[in-house]
Amino acid sequence: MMKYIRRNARIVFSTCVQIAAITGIIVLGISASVADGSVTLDTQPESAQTDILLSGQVDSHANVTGDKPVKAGKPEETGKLDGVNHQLMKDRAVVSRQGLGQEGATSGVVKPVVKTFGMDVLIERLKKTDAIGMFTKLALRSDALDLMKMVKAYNKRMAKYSLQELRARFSGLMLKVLALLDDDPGLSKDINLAREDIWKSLLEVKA
Amino acid sequence: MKTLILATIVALGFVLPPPAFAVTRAEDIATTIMLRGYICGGKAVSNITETQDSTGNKTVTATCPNGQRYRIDVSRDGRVVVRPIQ
Repeated sequence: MMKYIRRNARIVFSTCVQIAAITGIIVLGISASVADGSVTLDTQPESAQTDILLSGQVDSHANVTGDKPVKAGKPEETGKLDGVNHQLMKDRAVVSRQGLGQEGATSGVVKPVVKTFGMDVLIERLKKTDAIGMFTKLALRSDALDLMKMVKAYNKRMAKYSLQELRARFSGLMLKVLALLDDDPGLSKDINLAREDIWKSLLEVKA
Repeated sequence: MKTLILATIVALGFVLPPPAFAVTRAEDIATTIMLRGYICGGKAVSNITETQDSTGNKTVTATCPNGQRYRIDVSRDGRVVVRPIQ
């Protein structure tokens, strides 16, 4: 019995040691790659997929970051959420954020890294995400269309809502979207970062 | 060898991010009801029935965990209206 316990304890111990060793190797490997420069850990929250999508969509702004524009795939034709697109796809949001580039890190000079977000990309990603169901997406779309109607009325000087009220409604809608995107943190972060630009482009919707 | 594979899987579990799970239809409908400001009393509905008329308008009825039934009308152009059924 004791022999059996000892043997099992030895196996458990060796497993733990192996797990620790493998984890250590992986962590060391990643940090070595980062130190070499072969892998750059971006402090900004976008995933690689996001970068590809963004660089594909923001053709007019992509050269700011030095990325090669990559053409994104054809958007999935659902036929349900296109109403938002017609209004919002024309508008594009540019989010400028301060970041430390690799050159800046080595030479000690801080260079601003400009990241761009395409409104149409965010809408496409919102359409494709699995974190929100179809009915919920349609409900959010209805809310967005209602808000757009209100903004249009405001721009025509025919609105019964003030700009502050519209902004409060927009914030509420954004809060709903961000809360629903709990299972898609990448998209949630990107939408949150582009919040001001979404608001600006909403105000620019022609009456 | 078996231990090594197991250890690798466990180690990868720490490194790789967890997969995102798609919401179920019942959860989706419950979220829609709550998004419209109605109390549902849970994350998922039951007794879902769905009908579609000739014009393309869809009507979904479902029962929330608190016993309240709701009717969700989705128009052809995608507008969603939620109404409690008395």
